[in-house]
Amino acid sequence: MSIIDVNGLTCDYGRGRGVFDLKFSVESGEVFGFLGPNASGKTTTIRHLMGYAKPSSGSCQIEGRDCFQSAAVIQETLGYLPGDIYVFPDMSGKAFLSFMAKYRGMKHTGRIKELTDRFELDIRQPIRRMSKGAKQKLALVCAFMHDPNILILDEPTASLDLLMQQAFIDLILEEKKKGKTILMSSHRFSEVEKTCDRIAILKKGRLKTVSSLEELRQTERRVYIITLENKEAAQALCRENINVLESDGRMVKVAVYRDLRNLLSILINYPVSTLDNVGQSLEEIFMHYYGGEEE
Amino acid sequence: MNFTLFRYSCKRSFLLWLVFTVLMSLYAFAVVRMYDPVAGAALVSLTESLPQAMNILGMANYADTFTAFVVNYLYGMLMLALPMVFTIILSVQVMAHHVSSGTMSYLLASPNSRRRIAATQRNVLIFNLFLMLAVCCIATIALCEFFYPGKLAIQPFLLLTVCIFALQLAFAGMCYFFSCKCNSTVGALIINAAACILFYTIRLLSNIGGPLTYLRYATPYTLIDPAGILQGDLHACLLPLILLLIAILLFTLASRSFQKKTMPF
Repeated sequence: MSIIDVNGLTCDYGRGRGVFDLKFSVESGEVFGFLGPNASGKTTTIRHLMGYAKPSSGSCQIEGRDCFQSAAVIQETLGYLPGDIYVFPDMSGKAFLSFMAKYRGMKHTGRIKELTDRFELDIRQPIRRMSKGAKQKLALVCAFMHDPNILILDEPTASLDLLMQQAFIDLILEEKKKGKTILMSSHRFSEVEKTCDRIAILKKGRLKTVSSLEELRQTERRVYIITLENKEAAQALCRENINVLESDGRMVKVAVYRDLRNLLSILINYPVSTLDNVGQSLEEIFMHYYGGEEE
Repeated sequence: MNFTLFRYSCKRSFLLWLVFTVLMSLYAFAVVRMYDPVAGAALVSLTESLPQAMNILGMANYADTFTAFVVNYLYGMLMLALPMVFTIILSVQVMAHHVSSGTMSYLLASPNSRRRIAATQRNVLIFNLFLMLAVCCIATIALCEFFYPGKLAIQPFLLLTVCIFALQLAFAGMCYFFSCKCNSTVGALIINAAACILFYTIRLLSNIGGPLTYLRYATPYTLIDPAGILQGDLHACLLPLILLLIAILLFTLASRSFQKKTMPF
């Protein structure tokens, strides 16, 4: 049985905003990335999963329970990181965490100590004086402290610096090893690339694709710029069995899908002076899905 | 009810509670000190010469017994208005504020159901009001006993305070209901203040008399008849039960509306 099951979820805010007929499921032990540009419906979906909003049609279930009706039961084994940073301004970080722990009915302080050490968070200062990054870390600790089996994280690394992003990725990978089910949203591919098994791409409230990282990589296209010694060689290269994007003088731009050997075996016969790589990451694929944003 | 949340909310409201309670106790002190059997007679004549003005302020039931004097001045105006203002503020603080600022997202992201959260915050409101009236009532009795031992009819006074508590609960129910409905702090404050001031104004208008007397059926204040309660009139003592029913109804509606609402975050 899937842990998270979204079936035909629709919530129309008007003017094309909201989510429409969303359908996906997250299996046990899976890390599921939820990608989309701003205002594509990521947070709206998460709000429904958290039981903050009632779907106008369709359903969403976690462990077979309706997210709105049984929110309290679901929350027992769920950790949540809100996308916006909301704070109890009158508390210190420490007071907030111990309040949340007691409020949740936790007998002990759970993983608070371990997590604050890991994220190098000073919890003694009042929350209202914390930096954005510190508040984000505090929210992260709050999401993980009760060691939940399911985690829903809305843009978890939005305000973290690179070092802390790495610490976060390490944490996610550890949790993954423990068999936790994780759904995390992001508008940047790089942060889900290292952790997620499957990725859903959302655009204007509609699901564009749900595919595994491997499948996405299959369609990954790398672009190389080859500079040859002379113009003639460049023209000859363009006639070879390769995917030429453009050529200009001694320069030839080539696209390669996965296997580089074919290109290399051809290039060996040419007077190549430089070989440069552009578009290293999978971002390009996402641009392909995101394309037409302005329409 | 969640005790951690209850304690947190009470701690947050303590300063507000303290200010209002001290203010009311000081007022009670002033009223008790104001009593002067000679001046009492003067007030009777004032009521006779200016019946209209005293009527509007709800201070017309003046009889020259000490209890009636205290009740008239205490429960005529300020002891009704101050807890009302306190209720308006606190009801918004415990509910609409959390929704508006988004901190409710943390409160909901826990094994506590919406119903439980609503019940906890409702209890905070009731508990604060109860404590406020209890402290003021005890303070008044103590002051009376200290300055004019044996002159205050304690039992009817206690009974009247309980009835006033029922009235405040009805208002609290209304304020809590709007607080649960609204997503913004300011919106909830405005609606609550408007509704409370409306009922209070209707009370003042209906006291003027004439054709406006019928307005008294449009305000819950009419269900409290201090003179009747002091005299132990059964009818006057049973009317506040209706206020209690209104309070129960409104708190139930508030909880239901909170359970069904879509959160703005």
